[in-house]
Amino acid sequence: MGTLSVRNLTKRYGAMAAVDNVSLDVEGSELVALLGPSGCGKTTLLRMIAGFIAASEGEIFIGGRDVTYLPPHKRDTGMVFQSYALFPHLTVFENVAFGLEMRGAPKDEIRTRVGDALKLVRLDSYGERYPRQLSGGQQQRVAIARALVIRPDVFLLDEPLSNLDAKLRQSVGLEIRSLQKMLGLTTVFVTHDQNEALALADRLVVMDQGIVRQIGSADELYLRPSCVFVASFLGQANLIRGHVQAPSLFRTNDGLAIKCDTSQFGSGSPAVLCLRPEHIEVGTDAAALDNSFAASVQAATYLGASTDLTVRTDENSTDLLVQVPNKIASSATVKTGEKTFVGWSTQAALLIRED
Amino acid sequence: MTREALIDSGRIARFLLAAVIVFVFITLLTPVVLVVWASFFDSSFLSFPPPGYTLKWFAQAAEHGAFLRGFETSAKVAFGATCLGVFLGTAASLAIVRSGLPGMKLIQGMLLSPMIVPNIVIGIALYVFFIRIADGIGIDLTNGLWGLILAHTLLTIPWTVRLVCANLVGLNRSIEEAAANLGASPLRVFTRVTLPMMRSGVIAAALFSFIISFENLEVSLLLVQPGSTTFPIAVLQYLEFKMDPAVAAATTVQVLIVASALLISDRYVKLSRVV
Repeated sequence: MGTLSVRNLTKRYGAMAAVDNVSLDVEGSELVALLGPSGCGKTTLLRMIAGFIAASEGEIFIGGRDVTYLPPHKRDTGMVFQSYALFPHLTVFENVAFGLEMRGAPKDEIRTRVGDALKLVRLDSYGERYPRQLSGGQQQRVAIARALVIRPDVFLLDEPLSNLDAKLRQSVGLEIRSLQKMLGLTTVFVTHDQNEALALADRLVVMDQGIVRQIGSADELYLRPSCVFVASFLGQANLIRGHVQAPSLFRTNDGLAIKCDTSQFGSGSPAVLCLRPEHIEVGTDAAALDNSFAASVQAATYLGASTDLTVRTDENSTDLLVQVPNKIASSATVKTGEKTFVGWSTQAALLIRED
Repeated sequence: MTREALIDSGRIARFLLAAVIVFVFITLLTPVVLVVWASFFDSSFLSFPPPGYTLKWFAQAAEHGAFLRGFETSAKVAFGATCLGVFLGTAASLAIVRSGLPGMKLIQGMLLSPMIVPNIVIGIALYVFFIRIADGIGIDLTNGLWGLILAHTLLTIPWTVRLVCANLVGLNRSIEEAAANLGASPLRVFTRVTLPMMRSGVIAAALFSFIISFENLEVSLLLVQPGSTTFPIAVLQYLEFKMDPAVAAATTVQVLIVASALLISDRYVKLSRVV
C-alpha cells in the first residue's frame, strides 16, 4: 500500500458517476499527475482525497490510516488551490502561520517554521505584505508555502498553474517539482495540460468520464497507450482502424497491409493502429523500411523546429500525418505535390484496442 | 468614420457623461447645501436674500429640549435596531446563501419586502398589531423605546440582508476550504475566516441601518409617546408652529453627524467597494 491509497473510490451524483471505481496507489515522495479533459473527474477525485467531497463508495488511506470518513481538517493534507485561496485579511506571514496556529504550535516554532517556508519559496522579505499586494506568481508561492509548512502527509495541487501566464507557468511548475523532490513530498497534481503532466510527474493517471484509462510513466503512456483515448489525448497520433488479418499482419479498413506485432490480438479481431507522426520517415530512405508505401505530399506546415506533412499513399489513398525535424542546411525541403515514399519500422506501429 | 470623427465622438461622449454626473450631484446636494446655508440666516423666518448671518440658531436649537431629547431617542432606537437587525439579517443571509435548503429565495424576498411597502403603511400596520398584542398578552409596545426598536428592525433587516448577501455571494469558497484543509474546525473556519471576510459587508449594513433608522419618520409616527419623540418627529412638530432657521441648524448638526460617520467608516472599509 502506498503513502496514499485510493480503493475502488466512487462518487455518484444521481445516476451519473463523477468518479467511477478508481483505485490508485501513490508511493512516498512520488508526484502523480491526474490528467484528463475538463469534467473527467480529476478534480472531484482530488477533492475527495482532501475531504471536501464525501465518497459514495470505496476507501481512502493516508499513511495507512483510513480517512474516508474524516472531515478535511483532520486529514493532514496540504492543498494548493487553482484560485490561490489566500486569506485576504491576513498578511503573508499570518497566512503561512495559519496551519501551525490551528495545530497549537508554540509562537517561537511558528516564527522559525514560517520563516523557513517563506525562504523556501523565496518570499522571506514579503511577510508583512497582504496577498493583494503580490503578483499572481507570488501569491501562488505563498499558497505553496502555506500548504507545506504543516508538513502534510500528502501534498495536493489543483490546477496550480492555470491562472499564471505561459512564461511563469513553466518556472513555477519546475519550482514545485524541485521543492517536491527536495522535501520528498507525496504529491497529487491535477492538470488538464498534458505538457505540464509529462514534464513534472513521475507517473500520470489519465482519466476520462470518471474512469481511470491508464496509469504509467510519461514514456509508457506515450509509447504504449492502452486505448484510443490515451493515444489521442497525449500528443498527436495517426489512428487507423482495421483488423488483424494474420499473425504480424494488420489490414486497415482502407485496405493497406501493415506489418506489426499482433501478438496481443487474435486473428480477425478489430484493432486500431497507432502511429506517432515523428516515427514515420519520408523520402527515398523510407522505401527500405519494414512498412513502406509510395506516396505524395498533400500539405506541409512549417513549425520552426519541425514541419508537419500530410502524406497520401498512392495505394488506397490513406492520409498520414508526418512530423519531420528541420535540420540545418536541409536541401531536401519537401514540397507539396511531390512524389516520395513513407515508411516506418514494425516497432513504430502499435496496435491498440478500440475504446 | 475618420480618425478625427472618432476622437470628436469620444469627446462628446465624455462631455455628456460629465454633464449628467454634474446634474445628478447638483440635484442631490442642493437641498443639503440650502439647509446648511439657511441655518446661518439672521432672520426669524426663512427669507431670501438673508439680511445677515448669525450662529444664534445653533444655540437656540441646542436649548430646544425636544430636539435634544429627539436626538437621544433616535440614537438609542437606531443603535438598538442596528444591533438587532444586523445580527438577525447576517444570520439570515448566511442561511440564505449557504444552507442550500429549498425556499431560500422566497425567504430572502420576504425579508427584503419591507423595502417596497410604503413606510407609513408599515407604521399603521404595526400600530394596529401592537395594540392587538397589548390586548392579548398585556405587553404594550405602542409607546416605548422597545416598540420603536422592533419597528425599526423591520427596516434594518432588509438593508442587512441585501448588503451581506451580496458580500457572501462574492466570497471565494476555496478560501474557507483552504482553512479547513490547514486544520481549522468548522467553528474556527467561521470565526477566523468567514466572519473577517464578511466584515466589509456587515459594517456597511450597520452603517446604512443606523442612518435609515435615524432619519425615519413615517414608521415612528404612530409609535412615539409625548415627550419621547424621535428627532425627525421633533423637527416635524417644530415646523407645525414655527418656520425659523433653528430647524435648519438642528438638521445641519444631523447632516454633520451622518457625514462624519460615513467618512470615518470609509477609512476602515472603502464604501465604494461595499455599496
